[in-house]
Amino acid sequence: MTDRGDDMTKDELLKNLFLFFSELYKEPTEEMFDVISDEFFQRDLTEQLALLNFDIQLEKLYKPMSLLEMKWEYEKLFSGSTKPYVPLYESFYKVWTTDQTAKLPFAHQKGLFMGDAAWHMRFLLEELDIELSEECNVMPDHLAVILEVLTFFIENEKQMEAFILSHLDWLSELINGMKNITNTSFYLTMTELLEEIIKVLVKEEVTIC
Amino acid sequence: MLKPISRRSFIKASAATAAVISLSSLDTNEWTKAKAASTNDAVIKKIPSTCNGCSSLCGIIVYTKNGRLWKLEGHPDHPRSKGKICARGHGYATLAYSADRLTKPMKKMSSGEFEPISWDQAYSEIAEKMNTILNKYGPETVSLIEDPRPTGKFYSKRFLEAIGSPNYYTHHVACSHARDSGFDHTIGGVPSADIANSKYIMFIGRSYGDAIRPASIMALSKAKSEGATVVIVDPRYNNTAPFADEWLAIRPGTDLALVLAMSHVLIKEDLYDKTFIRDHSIGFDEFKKGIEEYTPSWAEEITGIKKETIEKVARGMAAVKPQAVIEQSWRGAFGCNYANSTETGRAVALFNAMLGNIQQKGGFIFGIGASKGKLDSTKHPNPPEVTIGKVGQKEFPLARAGRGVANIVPLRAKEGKMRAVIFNHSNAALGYANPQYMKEALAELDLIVSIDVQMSETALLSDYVLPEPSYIERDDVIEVVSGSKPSVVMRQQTIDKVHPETVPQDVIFTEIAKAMRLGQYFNFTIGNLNEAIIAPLGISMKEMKEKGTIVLDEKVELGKVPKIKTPSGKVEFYSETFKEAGFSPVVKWIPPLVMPTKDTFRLTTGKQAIHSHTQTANVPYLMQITKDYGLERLWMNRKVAEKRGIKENDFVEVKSKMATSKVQVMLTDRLHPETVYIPSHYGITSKYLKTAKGIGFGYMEHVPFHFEPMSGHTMIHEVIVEVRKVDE
Repeated sequence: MTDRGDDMTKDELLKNLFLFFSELYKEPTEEMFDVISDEFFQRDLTEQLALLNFDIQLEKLYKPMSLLEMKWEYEKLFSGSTKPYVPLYESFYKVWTTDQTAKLPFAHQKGLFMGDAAWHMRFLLEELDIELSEECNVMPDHLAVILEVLTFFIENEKQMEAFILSHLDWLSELINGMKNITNTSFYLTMTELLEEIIKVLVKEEVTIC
Repeated sequence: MLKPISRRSFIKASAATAAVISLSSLDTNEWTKAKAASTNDAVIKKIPSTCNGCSSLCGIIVYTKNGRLWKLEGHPDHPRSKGKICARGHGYATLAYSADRLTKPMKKMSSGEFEPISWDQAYSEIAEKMNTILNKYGPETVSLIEDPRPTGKFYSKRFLEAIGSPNYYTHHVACSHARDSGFDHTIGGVPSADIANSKYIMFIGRSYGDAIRPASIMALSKAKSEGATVVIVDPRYNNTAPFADEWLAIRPGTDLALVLAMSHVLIKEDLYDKTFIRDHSIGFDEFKKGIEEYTPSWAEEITGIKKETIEKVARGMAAVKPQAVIEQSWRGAFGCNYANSTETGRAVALFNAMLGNIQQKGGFIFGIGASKGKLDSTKHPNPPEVTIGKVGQKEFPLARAGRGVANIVPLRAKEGKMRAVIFNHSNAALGYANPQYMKEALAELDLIVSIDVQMSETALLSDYVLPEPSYIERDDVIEVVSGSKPSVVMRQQTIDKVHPETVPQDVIFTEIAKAMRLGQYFNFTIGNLNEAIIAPLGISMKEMKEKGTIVLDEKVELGKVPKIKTPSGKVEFYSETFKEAGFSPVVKWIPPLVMPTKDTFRLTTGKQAIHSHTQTANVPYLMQITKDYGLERLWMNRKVAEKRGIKENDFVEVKSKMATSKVQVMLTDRLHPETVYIPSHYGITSKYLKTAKGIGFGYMEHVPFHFEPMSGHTMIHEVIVEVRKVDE
């Protein structure tokens, strides 16, 4: 494999890209900061999109100046240590359950955790015979988990589309939430990019459930 | 191409293959529909546990489907729920899945903002700071304050004993402290009214319709349907009043005068139970002498209730004694409200004693408990006995020692005599005393730790915030609920834990103790403890988990007066204990601390059936009810308001010596003209509680930081306010 990735298949490039995004939505590390603060990061990312034949223009990146700033931004946006925040969990953006047999008054409301989305992700993990690692300390519908699981479906276009339509149709809600907190966030730009990639892949407008 | 990066995979895959997954099962909605159709027993489980929507801790049956909450019911055997739960119980369960919960341990940084930290860091730093404080200032400078729950009552106290501190405090300073002191020193404790079998019931400030315990409502309903007379004494026509035969719209703060005058009637007209008084009391002659001056005419002047009404009610109760009772109440009108509340508690207890209703059907029943088992101390050594006195005990000797006077902690903190506090499920900074004072006082401490499920105002003032799983996600310590028949009750985990990094408080206390090198006192699990508790009761853990609530066979013996737990072993109409504490040995009239003028009002507060203090305010489902009906509004007497040009839903400014608040007004004929009333559930200021923040105002902001001298309670109704119309 060369640095340019010319000898990688499209599937491999796509997998590589989603695993990068998956890593991005975990708590920032020094290594991740080094990657995204590299002067060639934007060029490398653009190249990878080009290799995938994605006609996507990368907006100006508001890159954090330090790991501390990156961590601060991540926590401010996603951790709930300050309010408002935008959880990286799918369930939060969807009605808790569509099961009409649920008797509790909140059952069909949004804004809650461990909804149908998490339950379904847990089912998929079991079906795929994979477990959440003990160290990760997240629920199964965390965006990083979803992106990692997505890589299992890349080889089958129909499966990938079905999975995306089911579990990545909430990114615009996430983006809107982020915009309510900040308009100059590295994470905001990267999430907008992720949404663009997803749209290209499913070749249709993704609509929120 | 992107540079390669080390991956911290969130998943562990073995021979994962996507080929096994059909397209339809990749669609969440389709998959859910298929799953939803499945309603067999293997999918839906019924797990008994207990509610935490308020301090009643009713028994509940939690239905779960695939590890998630599905339906709630009241536990049919639990003495407080009897098959029902209230709106709070349904609504508060949402907490488990709320986005406003605490999910990770947090530390306040020098910037004042919180940052997530690891549990190891939290334990080691708290332990190090705690040990430094103990070594430098001594264990008497460390306190723990909690809203007591089964696990806390065991682990909190044991933790304090392990570090040598006596300073265990509860929320009762802002709850039932005055009543407890008044009852304890006269009739030796707080019995429960046998409402279901009573023929004449008086409620003073207490409202079953506003602070719902399902079994209490059922009991009142039964009594009423069997012809009982019900009298509500309250400046507000509360939500129990529809049951009432008579609403006595008393001037706030004068309940003591009413009870003294009713006592006067019983004595003057020879209507009291002479046999009971002869056999089970001391000091009645002194009491009788003291009560002479408190005539119904005298009370009419003070209370605004006609003397004929006072006489009628006293005679009515006497006529059906011992099946008549003034209900014992909790906070009601004399739990922590006025300068005379402890004395009111004493007067209420003694009036009941004059009816001879103790341990009588339809009267006052002292419940019975059961002896719980203990850990084997040879394997699990007990911490040494704490020999130093609790801070505040000397200043308030009449206060119930086990609960302490929690507000002494901020007072001593301001003086530099208290250095560390652990708050365990306690929003003391908003709910126990003036929030501004609390904030200033707690700022003087070297260490504040909060254990909670949400970022309360108290948690916001803390150095470390430690998140617990919600009450339906964890096991708690088994408890015995006393009553006419004792019950053994267990809270157990009913749903899958939502936030992986939350930790139950039994583990939190254990790990902090270990980090402080005190692990020898915590060398057991909550499972070991629960096994030990039920061992002598003849209950297996399997049975306990299956049933959740087990009613024991023992039963209160009606008609037999138990040993009264006072120094004399009898009802004390004359109290040496009060005398030694510097107060009148016989009950006497004490006026409220402050009185409104014709231009001002007394600010009063109380509960609503859909909320529990401020704990449930952030539940969207319950807060929506508040918004739909404008429940956060200030109640104001319609005629009084109209004279001032104030109309329904106008904004008004409420101004006291302590604070100024702005709120919409609700005009009503259901309120005494000398008071304005604000429900006690609002005024959340924590930005982390986004549903509740900014709705209504907190009455405690207007309450001065002061202590009632007898039992040290907060005197929450000793507040005078001006009210004027303002622009929106």
